[in-house]
Amino acid sequence: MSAALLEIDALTVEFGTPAGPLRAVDGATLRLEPGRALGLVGESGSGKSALATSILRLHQHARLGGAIRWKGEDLLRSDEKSMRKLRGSQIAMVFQDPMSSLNPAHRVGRQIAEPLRLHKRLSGAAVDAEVHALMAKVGIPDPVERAKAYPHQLSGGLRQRVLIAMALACGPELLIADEPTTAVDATIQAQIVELLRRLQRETGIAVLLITHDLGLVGELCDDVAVMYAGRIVETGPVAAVLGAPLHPYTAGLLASAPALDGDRGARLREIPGVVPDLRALPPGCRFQTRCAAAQERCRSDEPQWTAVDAARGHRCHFPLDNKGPR
Amino acid sequence: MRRLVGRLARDLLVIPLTAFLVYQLAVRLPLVEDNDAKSRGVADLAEKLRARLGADEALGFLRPWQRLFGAAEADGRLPTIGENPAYDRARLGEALAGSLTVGGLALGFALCIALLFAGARVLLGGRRADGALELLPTIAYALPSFVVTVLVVRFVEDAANDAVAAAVVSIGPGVFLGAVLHDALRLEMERPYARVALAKGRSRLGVLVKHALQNALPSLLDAIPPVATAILAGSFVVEKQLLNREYFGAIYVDSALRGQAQIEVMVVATTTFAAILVLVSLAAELVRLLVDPRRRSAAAEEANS
Amino acid sequence: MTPRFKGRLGLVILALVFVGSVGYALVGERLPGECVFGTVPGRQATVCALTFSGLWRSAATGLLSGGAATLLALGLALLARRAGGVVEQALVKGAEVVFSIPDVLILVAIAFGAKMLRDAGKLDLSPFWLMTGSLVAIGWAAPMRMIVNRLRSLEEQEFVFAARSLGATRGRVLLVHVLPLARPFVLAIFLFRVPTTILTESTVSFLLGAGASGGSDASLGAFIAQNYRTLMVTGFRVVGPALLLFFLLIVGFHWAGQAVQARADRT
Repeated sequence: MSAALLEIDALTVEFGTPAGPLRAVDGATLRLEPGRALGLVGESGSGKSALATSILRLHQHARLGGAIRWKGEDLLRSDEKSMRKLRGSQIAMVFQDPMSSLNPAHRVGRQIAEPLRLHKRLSGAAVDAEVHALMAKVGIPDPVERAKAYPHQLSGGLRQRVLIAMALACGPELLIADEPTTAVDATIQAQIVELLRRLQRETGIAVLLITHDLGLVGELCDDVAVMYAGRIVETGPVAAVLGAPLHPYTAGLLASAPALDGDRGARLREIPGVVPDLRALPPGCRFQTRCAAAQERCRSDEPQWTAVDAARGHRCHFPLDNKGPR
Repeated sequence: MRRLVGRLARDLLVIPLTAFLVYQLAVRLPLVEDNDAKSRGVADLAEKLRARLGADEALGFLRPWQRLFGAAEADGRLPTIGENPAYDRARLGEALAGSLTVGGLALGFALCIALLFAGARVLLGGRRADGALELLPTIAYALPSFVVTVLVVRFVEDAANDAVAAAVVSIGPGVFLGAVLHDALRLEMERPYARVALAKGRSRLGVLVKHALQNALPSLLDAIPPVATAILAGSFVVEKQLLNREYFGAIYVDSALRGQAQIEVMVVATTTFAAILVLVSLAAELVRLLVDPRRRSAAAEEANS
Repeated sequence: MTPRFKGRLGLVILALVFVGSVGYALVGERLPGECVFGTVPGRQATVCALTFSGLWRSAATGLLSGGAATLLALGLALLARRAGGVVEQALVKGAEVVFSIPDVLILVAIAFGAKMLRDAGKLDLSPFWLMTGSLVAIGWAAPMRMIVNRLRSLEEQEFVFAARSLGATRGRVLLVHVLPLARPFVLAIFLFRVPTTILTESTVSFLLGAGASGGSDASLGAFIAQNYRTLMVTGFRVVGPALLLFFLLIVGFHWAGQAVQARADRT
């Protein structure tokens, strides 16, 4: 295994709330190698976005514990000045909603130019040329004219491409994409997926893809980590995890995705119940209240991480066998 | 285009409407014979005043203005309005310039206070110092201009000038604008584009100044017309009590106290103040068009339709 | 400070201020010795007596005019929503026109008119009632707009559609279903109107001198206007208590209003 680009080790992310501290991420451990794409999947409220934004320490009031090692250096020990140098230049992020992620008062060209001005100290004609080239690279037609547009003058698909162009401006080594296709139409989703695939191929950039869409993970990613109630419950290569999941939650996610070639009259399968309140977690396994295979031990002992091999692992007392549902 | 012109006309219509309404109020009030005038043998003063005001004419509300801007007398003296004291256009112009100086400076100071207050609160957010700053708007609200004037007059009376007076007037409105701006900035700093800017490597202060502030300005501009009113009221106080100068506000208040003798001055002064407030409101709207591209697009679409 | 804490603190401040003034009215004059702040220069009365009477006058002006303006605004808002269409538009436009004219200008103009009427011997109204009436005349417009907007948004709730589908008339829906929910909001408006009217009355009283709110029974604003020059000679002895009570009165009502508004926004 090559040296990891990003290593997250027992990361905890805690927010203060009027009702008490809320641990959105609890002991997450991940590893991402250069040029690889890792998908982080889970339901709403599982802690995926909190984990992703913690890598860049974007939450002002969150308490972070554990370690986030970027090329061996622990980012949680870095000062704010060092973090600012890293953000946008070595690690870039694409956020979910392209409309609200763009400043409505600035032209898109100016917003794409911002990281270039901050990190590469470009200005004038040089920055304009770079901006137009980036826009062309992400497939925005007529970049010279579009650079003068305001976000509200562009379609959703173009705005998402602008966000991607902004993220790639300084040639980062890691792209964190937080639900990049959730807020756009299905036809645009396909275009964005294709764009991300092409960019990864051309630039060799590592990708951390945050999504609830297992199909997207299957298309874009090499590895996958499944998150539930703040914890990573399963990791491994995509083909292995999606083909033969070990954790019942992973199996439940896969089973709940409707298949085009499935029985039209069949009832959709769901995972009963909801993600537990993180301030009032059940004893034992966090998934036991929704797990069909839960046993007595699940209700009292919290399962520890079990490494199946160097690349695969799970957090379950009674992992599924290889004949688990697709 | 028609709709834009219509809106502009509607806003500007307030000025002649105010002139007409105030004039009608004034001429419908009972006019009395002045005792001094009686004792000097001047008769029918009330009738003479009604005639001078053009009380029975359709466009009588323009009379005070016609007098004020009429031709100079044969001896070079400018025509006057009001009695004891009477004011000519040069005198009123000077007084108005003084009031506009105090008001303009006060608005400028208020905006500076607002920027400092709001910026400090956003950057200190959550810390104890912010908790102390949180109390300032309530304190400023409970200390109107006349109270601040009373508190500072003993210290600055000898050194009072337009800038000092403007500073006194600007405190309450400045803190109010600061509270409005703080709320708007806090919301903008929580928006996704602010996080995107942080993710690009901007510092928090950089995001505040380069991104959030421009988007928060419309909220600030919306608050300027009511603040202009508060500054107007405050300037009335400081002109009389602090500066002890006969600027336009002091003339207006004195005219109200003198009653009948200053009907023309009341009409002119009330209309002038209404005009100033309408123009401030229009100026705020114009600046809003400049800083908010979505508003500009909407206005352009409206103009083209 | 949370709105709830502010609300409680505001009520405590108001209670202390009013209990203190009632206590003084009942026993203060009978206690041996003069008021600790002495007498007002050039007057027979003590600082305590004039300050507390000013407090009551200011509070009475604020409560009466604030209450009347709020009730008038509520009545007009209900009428507007009940009638709908052109009537509602006309009422809201009228409120906008009144709201757009600065309060101070209107009050000074009213004071001017009152002076002329008084000189002609045609005004029987005491300065207190003239001021209260004037404040009501200008104070209904902003609350009316806010209440209309609130009623409009409450009427868009599902339970209103349910009531209408069962045959309830518009008037019944307003009075029986919507108005109870709007009560906290209207109460918050009233609590905000009180300090606003006190501030406006005090500013105009200060500008125009004691005449606006009565001669010897002056409000706090008028009392400060009459005596602030004593600051140069006697320091804060004469006007200090009035300034402090004025401040506490405004803060007390303002915080109580904020607490009620926070509660209203949650419903």
